[in-house]
Amino acid sequence: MHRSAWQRFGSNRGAVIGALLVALLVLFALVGPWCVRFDPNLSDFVTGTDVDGSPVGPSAAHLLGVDNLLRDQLSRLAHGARISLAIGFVATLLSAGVGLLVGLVAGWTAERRHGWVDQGLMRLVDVGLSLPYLVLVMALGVALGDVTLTTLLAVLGLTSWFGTARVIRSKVIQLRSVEFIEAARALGQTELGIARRHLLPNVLSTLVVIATAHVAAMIIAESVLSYLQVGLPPPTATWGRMLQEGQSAIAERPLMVVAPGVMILLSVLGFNLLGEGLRDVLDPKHE
Amino acid sequence: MCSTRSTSEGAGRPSVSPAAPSGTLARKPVHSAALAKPHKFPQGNSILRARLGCARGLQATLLCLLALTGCSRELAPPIGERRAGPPQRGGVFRTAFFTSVRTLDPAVGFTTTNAAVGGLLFDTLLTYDAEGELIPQLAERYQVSPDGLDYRFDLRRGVLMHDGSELSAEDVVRTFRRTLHPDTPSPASFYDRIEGFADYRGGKSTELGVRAEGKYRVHVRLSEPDSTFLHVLALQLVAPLCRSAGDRYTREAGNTACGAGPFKLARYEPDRTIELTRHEGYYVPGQPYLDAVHWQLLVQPFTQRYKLESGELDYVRELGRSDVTRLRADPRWAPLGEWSPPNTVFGSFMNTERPPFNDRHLRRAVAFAVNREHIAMIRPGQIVPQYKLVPDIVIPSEPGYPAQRHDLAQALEEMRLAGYPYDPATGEGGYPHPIDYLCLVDSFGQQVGELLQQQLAKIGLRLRLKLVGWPTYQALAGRRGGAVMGTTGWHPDFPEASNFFESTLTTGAIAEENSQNNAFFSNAELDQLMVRARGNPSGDERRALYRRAEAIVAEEAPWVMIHTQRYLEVSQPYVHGYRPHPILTQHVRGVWLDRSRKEQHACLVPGGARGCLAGALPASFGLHTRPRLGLRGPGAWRSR
Repeated sequence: MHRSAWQRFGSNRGAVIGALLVALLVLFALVGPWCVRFDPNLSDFVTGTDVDGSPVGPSAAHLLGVDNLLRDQLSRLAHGARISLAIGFVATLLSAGVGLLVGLVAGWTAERRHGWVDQGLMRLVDVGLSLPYLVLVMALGVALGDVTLTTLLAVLGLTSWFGTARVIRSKVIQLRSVEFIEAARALGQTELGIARRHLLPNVLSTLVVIATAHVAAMIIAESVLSYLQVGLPPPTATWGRMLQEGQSAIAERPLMVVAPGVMILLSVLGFNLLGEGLRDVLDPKHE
Repeated sequence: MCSTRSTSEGAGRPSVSPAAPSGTLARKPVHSAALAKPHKFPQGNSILRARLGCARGLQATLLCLLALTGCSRELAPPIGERRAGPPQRGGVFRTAFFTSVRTLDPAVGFTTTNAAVGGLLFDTLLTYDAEGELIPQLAERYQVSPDGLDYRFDLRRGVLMHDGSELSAEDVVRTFRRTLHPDTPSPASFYDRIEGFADYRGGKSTELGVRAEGKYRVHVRLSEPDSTFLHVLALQLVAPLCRSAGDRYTREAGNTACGAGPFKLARYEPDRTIELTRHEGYYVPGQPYLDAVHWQLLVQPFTQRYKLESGELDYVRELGRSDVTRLRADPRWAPLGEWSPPNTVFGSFMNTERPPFNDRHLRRAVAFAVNREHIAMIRPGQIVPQYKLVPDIVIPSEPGYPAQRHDLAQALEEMRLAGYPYDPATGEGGYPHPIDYLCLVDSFGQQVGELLQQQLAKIGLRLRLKLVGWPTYQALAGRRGGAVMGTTGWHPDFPEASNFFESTLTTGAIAEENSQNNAFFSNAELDQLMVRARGNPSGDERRALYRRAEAIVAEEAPWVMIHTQRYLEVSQPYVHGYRPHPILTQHVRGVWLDRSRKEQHACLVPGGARGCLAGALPASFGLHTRPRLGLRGPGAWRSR
């Protein structure tokens, strides 16, 4: 980013908080599993129960207590962070990539000789946007059978690009009649060259803003799927699953639900604030 | 009916996801909350705007969640207090199940849920009294010939079926023929000693040794003596049905139920509700006391507890660890709970016809590897480790009694013998493929499955949980080749050890669909032992045969027995006349409600005012935390 952009970013309190939250989250995901000595999927039958046999609450051995199966909550939280971030980032990359490609092609061909390409792609987008997203993801998950990290990433990434494509298309349509594009064309640049050298750099800022918010959406989607027991299978520690597993003990051990709930809250908040901050910084017309 | 495929309960299917609304709304173009600062968004970026708005919605939801978790941890008080008095007639008894009911046809519905519902819809020739002793029910009396082959049952006169017709011997005969018909997927092997059974069941003959002798006498002729025959007449499998049920099974018949029980079917919505109303023509004077019984289906255990607290349910049984702990710790609720006897055995079946469990060494490795003591720690007090098929309540354990045991070294040795040696130190070796483990989603069986994942990983077996809903579980577990391994259990139909072996592990219990023998285990010696036990009137000799059968199960390990479970059955103080039955599940026939208490409560809760009587409330009516809104009378609620 340009120096003035950095300054704008630094002066945006929300953006800074968002970046801080995301940085902490990434740090927690990277370092957390190494710091906690408990395996997230192993029950602790030695120190995991209190005197009446209930799962132990926060203690010296287990900082956040253990879950219903006597597994360390902090360890599961840290591993859940890895899953959430991995899914958030990779699914977003997939989604952004496909959305960008489709948006560029559709925008460039719209209302031109190959306008049918745009028409076809946008009708596909219409269909995609008309389907309830999570229902679609769940249906695909069921159709695929066993859900693995790869299939989940593919399903989430490849079913969430429709909105991105539409935004990028609008941006391209807007840009292609701008003077510098006309100038490039007059200078004899090929269509591909114009797209690569002029259009792509100009839509990237929009894409970054969308993608940042998209990470949050993917984290939510993964959490919802896990909560509904159609995400990654047990015993994989995910925040959504932790929420689901803890709900039966919500009155007795609220931390079982609060801990993953707070993590989802902070991560979504972080990415959204960061996304808004980036939008403010990267959108030259914003001010 | 008690011949039931048991599944331990657990947390149920989530109905509302705190994050779901945001996720689903993420696709909608514009949402009002997202437009707080519309000028800040790039032109045409409505989708981004919507997403950010939805994310804010999620944040708000989670904040509410956090606030909710800070709510009072104290249970709501019971509604009123229990007062002794004569039984009252009337009222609706409401309860719930974690699972669902696939069919109401007693010939094929064979679960604990069916048993509870069918126990009210159908009367049988014989039944059990409160102590678990056999007594006549629809049969007023019976005679057994000295050779034990001829049984004659004299039916009660004037018993009206739900359709208004009088019960006759023809109804009994028709029901037997229907249940044992080749087209009926019933566990018919209970009745395989009825003369002509094999040919009739095989479709080779229409002759069956069940005949009417006049209008009110039924004659059953056995081919061999059967020590369990009177017991199996208490099963709903052969509960007399109305003529409309037909003479053979049809799938459609599962949506109706017409028998001679104290209640008749009023409404059945699969996966939602079952409602029964009093059978006015019931032959026992003054009974049943209740006007109706309503079951809610597929209700999570912890939701059941909340509904009990609020008075939406009058009785619950399927409580999880946390709820049991809290209810028992609360002096107001503790006296209202009663433990059911731990007569249900839970474990995991291993399909002996499919790899890898067609190798007995692998099955034995699993049986040795499972640490039942650890599993019991997940639900202290409720779960008791179990090492043999027949629970101690039926045949007590004694030193040297054949049983499975936990021995990790032996488990590793069995893995080696199976050709899959595993080194726990390096993690090398073991069975190379993941093994699908079938279990009911959100159930305690799922939790056991997750613990088995941990324990079997120590011997080089990787379990992959296959989480399914109740109908899918039933279909896959009972289908030949349907599941490799999974959670299972057995609740006894009658207090005889043979019921555990015969129903779950004999060749006769194998079927292509709806197989009760989920392990598809076939052992000629075990089959023979059961044949001998059923024909043996001596209790001591039968016990010796069962001991040998237990040894076969321990050695061959078609099941790994894991635990028995006792259930805390809790009811509101206005529920009277219920206590856990030693054999029958949720046996609520004799229940009556203190209607004054219940109706007063209905006046106090929103939406409950319909039909309640306006009137002064007694000072002793202990609604400490209830709003005083009810004192405004029912009209006040209606006006809202």
